[in-house]
Amino acid sequence: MAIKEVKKFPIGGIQLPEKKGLTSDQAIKVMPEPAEVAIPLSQHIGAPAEPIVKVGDRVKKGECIAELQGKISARIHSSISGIVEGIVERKKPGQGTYSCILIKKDDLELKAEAQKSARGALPEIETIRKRVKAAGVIGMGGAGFPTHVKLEPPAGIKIDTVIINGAECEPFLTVDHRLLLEEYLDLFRGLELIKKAVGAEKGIVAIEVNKKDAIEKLQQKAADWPGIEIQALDTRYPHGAEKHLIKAVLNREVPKGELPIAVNVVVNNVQTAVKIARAVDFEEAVTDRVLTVSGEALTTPSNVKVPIGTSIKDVIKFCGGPKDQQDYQIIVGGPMTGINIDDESMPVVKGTSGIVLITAAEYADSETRACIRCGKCSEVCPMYLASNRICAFVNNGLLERADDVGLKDCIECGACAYICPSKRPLVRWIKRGKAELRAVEK
Amino acid sequence: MANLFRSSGPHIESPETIETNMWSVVIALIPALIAGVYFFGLYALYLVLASALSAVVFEKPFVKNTAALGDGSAFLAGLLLGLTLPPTVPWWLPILGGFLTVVIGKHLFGGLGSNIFNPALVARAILLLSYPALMIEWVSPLDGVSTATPLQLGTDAFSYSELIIGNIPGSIGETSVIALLIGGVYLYLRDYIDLKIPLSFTAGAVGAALIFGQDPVFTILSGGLIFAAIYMATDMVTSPVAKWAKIIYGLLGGFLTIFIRRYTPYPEGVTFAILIINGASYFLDNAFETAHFGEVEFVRKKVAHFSAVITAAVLILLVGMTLIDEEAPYPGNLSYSHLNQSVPAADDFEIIERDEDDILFAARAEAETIKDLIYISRNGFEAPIEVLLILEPDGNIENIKIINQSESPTLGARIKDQDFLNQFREFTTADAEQIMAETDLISGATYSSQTVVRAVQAGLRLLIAEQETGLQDGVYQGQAEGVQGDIVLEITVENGDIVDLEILAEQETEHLAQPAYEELEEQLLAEQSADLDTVAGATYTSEAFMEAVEEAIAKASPDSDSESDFEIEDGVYQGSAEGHAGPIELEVVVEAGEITEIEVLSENETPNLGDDAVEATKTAIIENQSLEVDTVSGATNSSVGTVNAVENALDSEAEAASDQSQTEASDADSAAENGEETDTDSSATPAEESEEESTADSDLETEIAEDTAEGGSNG
Repeated sequence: MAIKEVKKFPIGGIQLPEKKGLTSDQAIKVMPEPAEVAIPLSQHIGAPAEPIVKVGDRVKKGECIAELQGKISARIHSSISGIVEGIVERKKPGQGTYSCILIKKDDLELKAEAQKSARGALPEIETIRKRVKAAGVIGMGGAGFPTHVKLEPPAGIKIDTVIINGAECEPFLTVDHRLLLEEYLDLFRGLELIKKAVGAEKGIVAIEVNKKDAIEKLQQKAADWPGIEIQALDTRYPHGAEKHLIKAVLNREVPKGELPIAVNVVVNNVQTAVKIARAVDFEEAVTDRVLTVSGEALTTPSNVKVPIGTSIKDVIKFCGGPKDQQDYQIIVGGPMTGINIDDESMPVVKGTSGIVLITAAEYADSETRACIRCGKCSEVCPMYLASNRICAFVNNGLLERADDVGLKDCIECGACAYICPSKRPLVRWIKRGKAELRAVEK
Repeated sequence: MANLFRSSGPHIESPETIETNMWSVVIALIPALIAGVYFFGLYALYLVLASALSAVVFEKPFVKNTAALGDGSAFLAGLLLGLTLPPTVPWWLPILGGFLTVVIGKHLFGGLGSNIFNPALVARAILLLSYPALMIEWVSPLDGVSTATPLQLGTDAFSYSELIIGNIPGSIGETSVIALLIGGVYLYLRDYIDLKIPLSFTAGAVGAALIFGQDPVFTILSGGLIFAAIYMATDMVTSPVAKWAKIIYGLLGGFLTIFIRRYTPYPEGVTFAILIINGASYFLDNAFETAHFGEVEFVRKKVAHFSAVITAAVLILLVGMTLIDEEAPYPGNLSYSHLNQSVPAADDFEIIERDEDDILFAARAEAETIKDLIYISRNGFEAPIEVLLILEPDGNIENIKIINQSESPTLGARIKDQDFLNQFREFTTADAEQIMAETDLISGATYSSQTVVRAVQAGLRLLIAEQETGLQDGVYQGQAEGVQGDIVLEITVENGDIVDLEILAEQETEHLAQPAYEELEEQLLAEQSADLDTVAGATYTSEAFMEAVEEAIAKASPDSDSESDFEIEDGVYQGSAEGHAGPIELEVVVEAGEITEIEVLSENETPNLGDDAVEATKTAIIENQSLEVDTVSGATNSSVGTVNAVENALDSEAEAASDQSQTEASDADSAAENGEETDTDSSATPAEESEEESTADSDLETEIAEDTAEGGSNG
């Protein structure tokens, strides 16, 4: 089946070297449970979960070990069968630490009971929300917003369309690509459940054309799913940014400072939809996730299903470790928006979409030079900002002026810093400016 | 704080660097350089390389970059300067230019990225102002003969294809439009250039050309406009970044280029135009910041902002252009309210005649001239005394006002007394010459009051002169050599005004000349003068046209028109006048209203000098059918005497004619008829006689006639 219409957002964006070929043909491998997992209590946006287990407790795989607190929060489940060792601190990518429940593996292979009901008619709306909440599903694309909150739009807001974000525009990452190919049934089921929960009529799966096989396969399979459309997108970074996905697919512009519900849309990641389907139909908690482990410096780049809380070191080891004699940098997430880490004991969390071992040669650390006002940063900015101007204000301490020219509007996609011929770390400056502005505003 | 985000993305970077940007522009300029060297020779190559390399060398002390040619920015700036130099400048000029480019234009502003103005253009502007003679010396391509640029020569000089190929005089790298475009296409394909500025720059120039009535295609192809649009205006550091800022910047630059070409002595214009818009870059980026994603309200606000700025700019420009087109409307302290208060009934005050600061106005009500106003300014003790005369249409002074004076308050200021001013009322143009004698000056303020009288006299003279210079009705031809042959034209005068123009013959390039003729005809009918504005793009044709019109107008003028001098019945007339050594007597034969023969009856002039002068003068009078002939140098008295004798003869004819019409002649007339007293008189002052006869008024006229006679012999 031919791809009919390819859509894209109108202004800005860049073509990146994709490097997806390293893993795009690799079927998802399941990583064996590691000897221990450190499961962070705060993997999501909102209040950290409250532990409900004691040191020495024996926990089954899928058993709830921390209960949500307040409205915006998410439950945490044990990802292995084992014994609670205690609370440990693990470094977080960037700054700060995670408080983690450390669990040592036993050999009992105990599992929380899963419902064996066959997939039938869609359950009641309340059932869907309840089970999603119970399973601790959050946005698996990286943002980490608790999904049960998203499935309950505020009163008075009518949602007409649900978009599944299968753009996956970051280089190297192929998680969503593999899930589209291998777990499309869960995806379609998940989309129908989301549609029912938010009351939308239309469901769209949006995929960049660099995943041609996925688009073709899903177009075929979607024939059996009335109410689900497959939309091809041009390969252009950052199509995966929520607002730009909506702009491209529906040509609706989310107003400054608002959420997609302002334009009657809910967007969910591919893996989130899969997790929703499994949570609702099988009452299966989120105890693992699929992520891409890749990079030129890695021996066997793979797509791997990893228990939550597994250390990055274990994951890299599972993928053959770094190539010999190779200087490399570890990036958690994609190379555009991910974080460079120096401590491999960090755990994989629900939002970890990839681990990339970038060679020292590829790694961007050129000397910062004077701005020549070439305007490339403005040309590629999908938010239509002039990051050179924002940064000029930030670097001179003029935070209000920086705010006037869109400091807070920046989505930190990194297109400007990537393209800059003077190698100016524009996004880092903008992040610093935002932090300083927040501090001033408090 | 900076290091806190050291670990955040992006962790990959594009292969683009400052070097790739700079060197790709250098590569894009190679075709233009090749064309320049082909047309202007190897010395041009030296000039360009000297400029580029000296820029690199002068930058060395300012930068850490160890590459032999630096980061390419200095080389590029020097290259751009070199390509804008005329191909004949001395060897040291590009080196000085390289210094000015990087040191003055770039590093004194803080180096790469910090300079407000395009460094190459800073250097070019300094060179242009410091060495104007060197910087505007142009040669023809290939042969190196000195010439002018197409902008100076006008549209007719070169064909469009010559302008595109570039075998025309001009700066080394600016002439070949095709070579510049090849480089532009390269930059576009490599994505090193954003088309907004080149396109809007060109559009601005075309718009301005259309507004100013110039040929837009010629405008684009000449004067380095394409070079500027693609390579100069687009300089990254000095041009704006925001989308609309770029478009406004380009439009403004293009417009200013043409504006400067038209209204200043710098025909190329682009240098100053781009320096001006460089200065506006930061403002434009601020004013026209792109609306951010998701800012519908912001967009509306920006659109309103944008329209307001544009409207204001257009208004300012329109006002500016009116100011440029028209001089300050009135001199001194004269204002419209003076005119309006003097003749409240008038709805229009048209300047009929202007001689320096002296102005004759026609005060009109519903297109009918109801009063004449004359403004005269004469130096008093401290400051000019400014006088306004209000005259009836028949030339009577109805009122006189002192608009401004700074004479001493106790004495000179008395010129404002009504007793003094009232004396001037009821004087007419006819009294102009004896006004001084007829006026009582203010004792103790002789000089000030004399100045007023002189001013009134000058005012009346201005009106007299205007009345005399009206054109004679009729059809007159003129011709002059155009670019490709004679232009012959014909003007029709009715009621003293030129009402029609017809081109009888011409061979000019049709598509250029025809619009020029139309525009010039329009101007001519409005101005009633051969002093017109040349039509850009058809300068030579315009000049020839004006010359031909001048000739035709000269024929229509009363001074040179034989008919006005000799409205004489056929016959033979005798006259005499004093020559150098005794009277010259002669006989004038008039046939069909023209002097056909002059026979000298007796003269006693110096042999071989005076008598030759008499012969030459009489021949000239017959040829020109006019008494206004050149005197023979060395024999002025003989020449003047001959003219006076002829005039005397013709006057005696006029006398006879007027006598015939005056059946009730006065005593004085009878005496004249008898030729008793007057014969001797008239031989000495022939004009006096005629005036006395024709006006037959008081003894005042005698003085006027004397004055006229003096004037005549001086002429």
